[in-house]
Amino acid sequence: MNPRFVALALLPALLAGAGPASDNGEAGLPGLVPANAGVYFELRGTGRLVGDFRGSRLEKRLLESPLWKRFQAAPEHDQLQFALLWFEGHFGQRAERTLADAASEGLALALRPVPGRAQPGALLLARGASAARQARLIEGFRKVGEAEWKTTEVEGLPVHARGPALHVALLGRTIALSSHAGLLAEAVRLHARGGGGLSATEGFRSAAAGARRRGSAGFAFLDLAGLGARVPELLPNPLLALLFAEHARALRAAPWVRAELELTGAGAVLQSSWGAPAAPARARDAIAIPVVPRRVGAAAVRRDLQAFWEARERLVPPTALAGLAQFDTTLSIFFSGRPLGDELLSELEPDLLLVAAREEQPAPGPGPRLPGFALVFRLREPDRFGPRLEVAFQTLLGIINADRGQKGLEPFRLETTAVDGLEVLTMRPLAPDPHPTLEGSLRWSAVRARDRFVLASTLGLAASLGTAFRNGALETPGPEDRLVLDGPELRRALVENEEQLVVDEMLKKGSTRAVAERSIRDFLDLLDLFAGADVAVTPGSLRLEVRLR
Amino acid sequence: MDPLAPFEPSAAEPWDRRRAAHLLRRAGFGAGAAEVADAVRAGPERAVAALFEEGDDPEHAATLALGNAVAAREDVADLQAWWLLRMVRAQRPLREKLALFWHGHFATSAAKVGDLRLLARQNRLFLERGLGPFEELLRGAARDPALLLYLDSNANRRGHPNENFARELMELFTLGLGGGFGERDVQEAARACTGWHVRDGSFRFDEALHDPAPKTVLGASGAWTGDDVARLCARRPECARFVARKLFVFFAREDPEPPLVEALGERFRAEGLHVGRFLRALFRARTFYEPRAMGTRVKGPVELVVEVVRLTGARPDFRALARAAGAMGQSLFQPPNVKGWDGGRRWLSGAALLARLSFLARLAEAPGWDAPLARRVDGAADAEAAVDAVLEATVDGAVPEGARRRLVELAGRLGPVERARGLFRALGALPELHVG
Amino acid sequence: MEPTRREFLSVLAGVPLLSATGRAAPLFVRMARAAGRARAGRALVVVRLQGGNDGLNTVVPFRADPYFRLRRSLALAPGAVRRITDDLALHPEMAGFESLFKDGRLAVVQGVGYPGADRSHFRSTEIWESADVAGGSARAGWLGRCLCHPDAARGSILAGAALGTSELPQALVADPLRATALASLEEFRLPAGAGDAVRSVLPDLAAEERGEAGGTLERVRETIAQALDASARLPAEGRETGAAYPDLPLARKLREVAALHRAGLGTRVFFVTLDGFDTHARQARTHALLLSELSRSVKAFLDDFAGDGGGDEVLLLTFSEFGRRVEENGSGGTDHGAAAPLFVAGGGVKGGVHGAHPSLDRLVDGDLGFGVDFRSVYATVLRRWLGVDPAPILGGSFPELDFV
Repeated sequence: MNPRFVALALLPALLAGAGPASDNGEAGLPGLVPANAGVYFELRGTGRLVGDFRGSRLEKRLLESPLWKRFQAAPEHDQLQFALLWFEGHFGQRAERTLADAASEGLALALRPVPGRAQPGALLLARGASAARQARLIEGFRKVGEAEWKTTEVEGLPVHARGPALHVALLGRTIALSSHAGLLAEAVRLHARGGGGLSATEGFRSAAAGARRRGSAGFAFLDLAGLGARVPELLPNPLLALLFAEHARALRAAPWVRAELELTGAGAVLQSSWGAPAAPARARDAIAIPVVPRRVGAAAVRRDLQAFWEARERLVPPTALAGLAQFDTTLSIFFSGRPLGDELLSELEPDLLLVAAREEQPAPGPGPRLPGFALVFRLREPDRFGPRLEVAFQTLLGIINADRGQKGLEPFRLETTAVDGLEVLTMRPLAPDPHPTLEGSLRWSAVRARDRFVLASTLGLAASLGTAFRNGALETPGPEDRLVLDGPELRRALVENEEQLVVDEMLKKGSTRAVAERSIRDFLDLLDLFAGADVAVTPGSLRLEVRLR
Repeated sequence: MDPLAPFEPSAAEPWDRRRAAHLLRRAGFGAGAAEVADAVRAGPERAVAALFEEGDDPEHAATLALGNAVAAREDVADLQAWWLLRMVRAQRPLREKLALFWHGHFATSAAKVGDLRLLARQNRLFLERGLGPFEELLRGAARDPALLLYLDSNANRRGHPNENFARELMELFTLGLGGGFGERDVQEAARACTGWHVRDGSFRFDEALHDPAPKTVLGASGAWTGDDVARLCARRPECARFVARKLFVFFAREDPEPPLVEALGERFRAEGLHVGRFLRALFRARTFYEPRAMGTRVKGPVELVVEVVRLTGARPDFRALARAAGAMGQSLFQPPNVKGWDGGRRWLSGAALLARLSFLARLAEAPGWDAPLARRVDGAADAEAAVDAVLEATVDGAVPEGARRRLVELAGRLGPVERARGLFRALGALPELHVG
Repeated sequence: MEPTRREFLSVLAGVPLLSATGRAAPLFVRMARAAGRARAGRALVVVRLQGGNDGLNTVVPFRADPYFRLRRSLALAPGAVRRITDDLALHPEMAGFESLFKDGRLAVVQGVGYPGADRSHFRSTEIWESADVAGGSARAGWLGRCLCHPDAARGSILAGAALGTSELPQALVADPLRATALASLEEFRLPAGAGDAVRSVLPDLAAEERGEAGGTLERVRETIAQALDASARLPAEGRETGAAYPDLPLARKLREVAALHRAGLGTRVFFVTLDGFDTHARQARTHALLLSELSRSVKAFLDDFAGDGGGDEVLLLTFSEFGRRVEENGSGGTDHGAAAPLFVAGGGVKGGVHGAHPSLDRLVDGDLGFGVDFRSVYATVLRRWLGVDPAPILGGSFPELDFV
């Protein structure tokens, strides 16, 4: 049975939760978790979510989706129905009802690493409204494979065990399930003492402090210090170091990570922060993320390249330094031998933008259909440095032609196309390749607009970006690192590559063609539910928003 | 004495599991207990006939159809994985096994050819024509763009002959060294093959660059072109002998004696150089089931990989399988040189052998491992039965007592949960697994 | 024609470990086991500096005027270089080599090259590795041919190994092939997941004899037994040696060389490569990093051996396909040249400077002229270190030098 489908079907039940996690004198759920659990998830305050789900956009889309229809026709659906019928017969009520009851006031999962084992110990807590109903539920489970259950006592409370990896106990209105006897015993003891545990630790308290008030749907806590998680000092390659060195440093200094999930009518928002709450971002000039036709996604970061270059020996392992030296040597070919750090990087503003957009007419043939992608730089002195970049582009053309000449391919010619008043430089082969390779089908293009310089893999994308910047067509910005994904366009880009995705599945998982095709279809149909995603990251925080169509 | 006189089962030499398994292994990529039992029941005549039956194999066809999509990814590892997938899934593996043989015979490497579409095309040529008349296959190969590019045929032009293609055509593909041709023949053949070019990934006979004057090749004179050279070579008795010998070495055993080779050549000729009919006779022959032909052949890396995956029903990452076969010394579409793979004992150098052990260990950890074989082992009543199940499925059960006892001890120590994996990992150390 | 031959050279695996006589090998194995830790014997480690090392900035004639005149920006300051004789010094980043030189464990051979210096990477590498200056392509390598000699690697399980690559360098190629390319020692170890229970059973599964001596099954069994034995001798991952090696790629490869050598498989020749020397532009920084890596790695390697008394077991030889031009080019780098010095270090080396420095006044086509034919260096190493007659291997006699 495909776990994806089971999760999908039980989603409404799993989301059933309600209100604050502590009342009636009983310890809140985190109070029942041992203090040294490294990972903690909680779903709460979600009573209204069930109501929100019923009749919501998500439900409607899901039910309309071909994915759901295929599932209903699939053997897994019958298996699931069968399992649900069995459950009803055994417990006297429907599975969704039962599970909703059992976790109506909260559902939590804690994980604790076990030394010497790959699998961590897990503790699952489900709090319902009635202790009696919880007790009946446990009894119902114990009737399954009755002979194999054994009961012992901890602190006067019965603890039931089946095999080495399933332990259950009822703590007031909370069912506690664990894969490790020791872990469950600790939870029982905490219950007997009226709480404490994780909720009493300093880390958890400061992490949870802001969260509760907002009544979000879910909460997660990662005890970095406790887990002994080590973020490496040096990231393995220069690109990673450039992008993530700051974030890594913040993570290294952080004792914990927390995240909250909020469900809105239109989607979900995940807010995460690590260490102390991030200092409020200072308003700065925005990083512009333009909208262009068929945009699949874009990423914008602010990085002082010159400072990075100067500090590279501290940020990059020694093996990569030699590579960077080679890179410097190579790049100098494009810029008449000028040193990278002093003369070239200082010409660039810290705004870096990467954009991907689908081609209007993707290349024909059975191969992968790549989207066009472009890198945008912002120049400090566009009138002085812009022309130098254009000349560097010509040098690039020369090198590409030398390579193509070696392979016996037709050379590219430099062309200037006027688009909307902009001069776009592009490369066009003198004669079309009868069998273009992936590399050979790239049409590097460059354009200058205002203070931006665009280097793109296609003429169309260069032109649309150039136009967008020239006209000032910019999205609402923020000062953080940002990543945006456009759902429908991403899906279309993948659909254009459906055959290739199927090949991937077959080669990597050894599936038959039919199974692979179905997997890809399911994935694409699932993607169809989404309008897009937006990620904003600062050293110390992350915000992920996912929107439904 | 007809060396290919058919094998007739007798009390002393019955048609038993051992012989049936031998047939299914050599003419394909091994078979599970059920298939072997079917073959035993069918008897030698029907069992061999079944190998040549053409049936519907939609999964294989569907995978084959993806060839161009795979080649367009421009990664030879993907192309290798694609072929391995076909070999594992094929209902009738004889064609694929022959394609592997011809791939080694008409060796062509992606490292030089570059365009994977051409290699996919060549691969399909071997699959389609490999079991038919040799002359037709040869004609197809002589016009195959990948092969021509590999042997620098484009450099062969009137006035500036390049002998590479002509020489390998005679020396490696048809007649063999000392196969009744001399330097003069090679030179003349090279002239005949001028203009035998590839343009834009297709074969093109460039008349302007062709030397039209008459040539004398192997004693025959005429205004020959590449097609004619292929035909002239194929018609020689040395060719029949050379190719028949190679087929015999690949499918039966190494070092056939000269009189046997003569007889094989005669038979191949008598069958009109039809590979399928020749092999059919070979698989029926006494010679094929002699003690010195059974269990005396070292399985090549690709054969080992495909056999093991078929037997266990595992669903691993096929690109990793291709890499494993490469580490063992056989990288598909990238033979080390124009002679293909030497095979035989050459497969067993130290690092290559450890690569085999490594492959088995990693397969045991792959997903989809919980397949028929593993289930049978898990369900076995005790350690002994578990070991028997594994051995019976993989190595014909004929393992010395001491080794068997150690395996039983191991299974006992590992317990029911871990024993399938553990036994499988240990298999690599059994010489019986590598020989078949 | 060439590319086909190039493929011919990239053979992956070697021939079976067994000699034709079959049974002798397992006997050796049993004897070796009985003898405890096998006496490792002499080994040659060849370090290829790929790309064309700028010898002039490696072994610096810091008193010569032409050096400063022709290298306005690249010449190393006389105050910064590490003096080893009155006229010569090492690049400032080569502290390790300076120390080795002072201990008498490093020999510098100057002006090494060959007549008709070819400035193509591919061609010149072929020449150095095949020891064939005149000929066509597709020759076996000098080390490969050496290993074919019966005295060269008697009874060894793995006669030659190239570390850190999966393509066997031409130098080790020969027919029959006795060397293997190993991307890392991992390939020679049994996979970690094998578990102790499984691992301990493996040798027993290949212990019993299977049928007659010449039979395929028995031969395969012997091969498996040898391979398992070889693998078992390798120290566990991470515990190859107690000595400290810097965290550099070349050091890691040399560390694996040390581990393989100590495993007692009888490996005579090791081959590792350090790439990146083709410094046409902005040479200063790149060259400094490379020489630093070379110096630190080799020093750590040799100290590792000196540490446990095996200092006389290894001889290390560096080579590069050519040196570089005396005059710097316009991009702060140098172009392909001809003669250059090479280093020989380790056990039994007679330290010091050998050969004369090529004249900086009388250049040959703008390049340094060679004084020592590289085949002389090879002949010296072959006869005096590996104990084989160099003439058939090098296709002629060459005067030997006195550095070992």
